Amino acid sequence: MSLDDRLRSGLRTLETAPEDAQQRLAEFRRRAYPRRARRWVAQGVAGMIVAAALAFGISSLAFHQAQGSGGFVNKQPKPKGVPNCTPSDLHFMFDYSTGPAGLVSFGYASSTRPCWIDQSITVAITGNGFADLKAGRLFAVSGNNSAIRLRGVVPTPNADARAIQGLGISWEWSNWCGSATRAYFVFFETGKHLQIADDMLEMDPAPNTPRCVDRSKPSVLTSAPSVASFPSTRRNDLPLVLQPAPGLANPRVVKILGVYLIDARTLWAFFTEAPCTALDHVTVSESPQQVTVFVYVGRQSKSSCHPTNLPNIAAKIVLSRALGNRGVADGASGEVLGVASSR
Amino acid sequence: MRQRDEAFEVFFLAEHGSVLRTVQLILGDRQAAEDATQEAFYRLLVHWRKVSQYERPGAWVRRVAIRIATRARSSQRVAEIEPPRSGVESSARVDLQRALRALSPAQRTAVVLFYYEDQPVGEVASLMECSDGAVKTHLHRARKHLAEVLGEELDDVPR
Repeated sequence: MSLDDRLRSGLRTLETAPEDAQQRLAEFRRRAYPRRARRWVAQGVAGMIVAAALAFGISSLAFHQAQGSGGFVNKQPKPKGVPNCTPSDLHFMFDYSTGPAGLVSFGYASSTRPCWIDQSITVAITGNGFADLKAGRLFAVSGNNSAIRLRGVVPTPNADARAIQGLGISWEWSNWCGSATRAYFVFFETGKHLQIADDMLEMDPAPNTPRCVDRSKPSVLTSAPSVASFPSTRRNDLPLVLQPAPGLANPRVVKILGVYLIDARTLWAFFTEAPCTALDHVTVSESPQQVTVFVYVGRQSKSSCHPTNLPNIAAKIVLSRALGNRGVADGASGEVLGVASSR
Repeated sequence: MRQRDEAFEVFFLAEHGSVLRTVQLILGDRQAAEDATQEAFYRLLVHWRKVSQYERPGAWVRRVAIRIATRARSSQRVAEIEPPRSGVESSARVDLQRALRALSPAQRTAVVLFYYEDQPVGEVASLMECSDGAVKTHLHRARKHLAEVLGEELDDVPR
């Protein structure tokens, strides 16, 4: 038998038996469709921000190519019994806190099980997201395009908390005296050759740029401490599903931004909590043709008041019967809403 | 379910198995192959509206899966050898597994696509996103190595 014949027949012996395709599809549905739905929610929010930024005009860009730098979350060995994370386990988490400097945080929470990750992640600051990154147009920031190694156990989040547990890394960006006021953080696996936007891990807009402290000195991006939790509703694609807290002052109906069908009878209605308001209760009006959802928020006490808008909040609704072909309407506006499905 | 999801799922049922088997041979690791294949089909789902208009969406998802697999294999562990079956056949099988595992990711990918999927060099080059010449180089080096390890005579250069 020739080498070619041996390879042809030998490779056949290494293949595994075909599996149940329907079972594979069911597993794919369970993981991929919710992930795509989250992507739509994230894209929708990013799109609004881009539109707002364009409305205020585009700033000029500076160009810079920087060297990467390293950092570690921890150097502990992988614990026994903890599986490696797979892409379908992970939710991206992002936060950007502003002060004299900006603290950029990126990380993951696991939607399925605590899992192990060991990944080197690079952040690039650009004025136009992936397009500028691909073209090599980066902001003139010392340390821009720098990497940090993210290594450790990714926890499963507690969705009822105001902070989501996760495993993250962070960078501090300071002294930005450039003319651009609009910035994007693009996160990608270090060393990865990015060909399409889908190759990057995440792209998030910065609500503002750091304060200019000294024009004679460069803007700097340096690695900062690791992050163990993220504010629950800042620019991450993991919705915070809140339990209603009835009895708040002055409850009023708020506009629903979108609806996500979890299973035949369960919906998540997305909305934004305005400053010092919280989810009070939810009511549903069902007819054979339509389901109308009313989300009520009430005023929080001053001691527990959150001072900023909290987007990406979700209220859970369980219908009396399967949604089926019925439409879903927003009780505040009367508008029929698009429904993203997990099935 | 929306129409494009139905079309996607028909495509999934038709193609997933063969993509998974190819990726598993490239990676030599069942779990990693499932992850890579799942990720490739997820990307296909995201881009389905556009890719479904292509002449061969199957080639697109194969190309993405192979790209993910070869990157994963470049950076990840070497897979455990599966338990042998029995007798002479199992010994030959393990020998082949070991020999394949020693190849570079690109060489192994070229071997799997050329000998297992029976793809011509031009198609292998398209799937690996490289030139015909690069594929021939990968195959030549892989065959040279495999011939040495497996104790076989080297035949003519493949077509």
